[in-house]
Amino acid sequence: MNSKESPEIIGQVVAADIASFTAQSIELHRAPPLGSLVQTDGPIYAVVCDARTESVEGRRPVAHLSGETDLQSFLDANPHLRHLLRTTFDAVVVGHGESATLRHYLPPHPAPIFAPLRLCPQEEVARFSESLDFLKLLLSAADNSDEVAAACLRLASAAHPDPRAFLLTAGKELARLLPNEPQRLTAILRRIRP
Amino acid sequence: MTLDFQRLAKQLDDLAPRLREQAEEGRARLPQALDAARAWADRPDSLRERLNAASTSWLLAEPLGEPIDATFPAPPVPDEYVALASDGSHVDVDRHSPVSCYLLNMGRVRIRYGSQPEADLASQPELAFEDERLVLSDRSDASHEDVLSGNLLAALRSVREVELLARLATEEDSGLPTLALLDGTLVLWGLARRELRGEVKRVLLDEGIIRALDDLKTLAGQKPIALASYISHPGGSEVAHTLRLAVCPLPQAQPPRPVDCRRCPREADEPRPCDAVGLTSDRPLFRALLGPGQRSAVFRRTNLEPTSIEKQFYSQHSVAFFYLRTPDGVPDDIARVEMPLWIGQDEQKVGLLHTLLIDQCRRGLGYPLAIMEAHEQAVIGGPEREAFRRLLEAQVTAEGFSTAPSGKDLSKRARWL
Repeated sequence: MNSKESPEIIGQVVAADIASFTAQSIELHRAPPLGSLVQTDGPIYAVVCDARTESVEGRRPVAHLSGETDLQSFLDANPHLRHLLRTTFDAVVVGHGESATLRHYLPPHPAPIFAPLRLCPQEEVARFSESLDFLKLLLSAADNSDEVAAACLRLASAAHPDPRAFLLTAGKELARLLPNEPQRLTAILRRIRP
Repeated sequence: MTLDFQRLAKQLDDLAPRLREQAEEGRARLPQALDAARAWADRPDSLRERLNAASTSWLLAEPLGEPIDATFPAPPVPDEYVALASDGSHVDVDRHSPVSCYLLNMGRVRIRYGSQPEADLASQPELAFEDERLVLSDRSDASHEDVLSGNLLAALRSVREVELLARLATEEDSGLPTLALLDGTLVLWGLARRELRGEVKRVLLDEGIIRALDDLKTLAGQKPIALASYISHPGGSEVAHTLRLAVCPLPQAQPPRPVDCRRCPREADEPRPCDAVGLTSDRPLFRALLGPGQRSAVFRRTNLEPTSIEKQFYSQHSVAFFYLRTPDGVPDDIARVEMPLWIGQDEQKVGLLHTLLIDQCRRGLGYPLAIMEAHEQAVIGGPEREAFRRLLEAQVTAEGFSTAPSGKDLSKRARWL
């Protein structure tokens, strides 16, 4: 993707505080992958840490296959369902600011409700992850922060010219951040092993 | 807590034996009612004559052409079809509120099944606060005004539901078989006879439901559209009453006489002769007759009071109906499907209604999915009602008016104990 083009909008913020936000996916079942870097206008950067698809009105779905053997044909046979379900995802805020003033710490304000969200293109991911200062925020955020951090580093590595070198640097940074938690460190390192 | 449950519990204890008694009574009467239905199945003309000559207060049902005990399996479901439905809910005028207004919320659904699946689910609120929409003034009597609240507002909502369905049917351009559905009955119930004049008659009937039904009739002549309203677990008993007339001994007496309930040949304190087949509703009869997914014969309602709304104003749209048993695989229910007579007389449309309703029941786990979703779109829940009240108050306050609630309203919201 050309960096001049604005990437496609994938969701809209529906709840936010300074350190995290929840967004609704534009398309059902199309939340960005775990660990991917997203941005609002502003921009505020965040890493996707969880996602779910559920009923819009708190109704409880009941399993109801009637001959369909895959999800797509089930949704096609029940076209109203797309209107009754929504996919939302949570993201941990990891930085903010334009490239000249890019900061790998929390912004002064939460992301505005209804702010459109875009998936960061590869060059943006590479630029943001040049500094690994955001890892500290990620490791202390979500319940599944180790999984999120590992997924984030795996995805970010692909944006760098030498993914292996990036992951080695990231491993060293993790060792610095988790000096007293060898088991946790090992678990993350296993997940990002090139 | 002001409801004394201990006292209530004692009264509930008396309910169980009565329920058992009723069930036993129904079980005993059902075989005889079925015998009566079978006995008259091939004599539709004699049955019609007997019904027409009868003097009774009961509402009756006359089969439109099929035997009274007939059952029909559903025709195959078309691969592609469209389901339309509309439903409404309302917040009534509250005289304790600082503003006189009512709110209608109309839900609508269009679902297309088949190779190009799509759905449109939406709701549209309508807030009325202007005098001319709140009060219907009678042009022929300056002192006569009808406030659109209570039963009149409920009737207006029913009118809006049919109007919305007519609009959806007008916009439907797929050319596919189309099911147009309403919840409940097609007739505007709950209006007192004295209310049906002047502006009320004009707004609700002439330019309301009758015009919308006229439009739907024209559309149904141009497109493959079938219109019906669906009543789950219905309480109607016209067919059961008809069977009572069918076994009345008066026409067999010497000399034979027409059925006349004022001359019932019962002994004092004894049951009526027709009680032997007397079911409390049509439901048990059709539960015994219909297999899963089947429909009954199409009936028209007869013996309506000359002053009833249906008799006076519905003319060509008078109600026909059939009973339907939900298909296998979903909760068992006997439903009543009401339609204007011009649908009931059209064999093809009746077949279309039948098969599409069965498919909708299958999709909606025992209740037509399109109506269920239209209802979900329309319904105004408790928290939404409260939010609406607050918004109204905020608007009034913003204009600098007092929102002082009535004493009664205040007493409900702020008690000191």
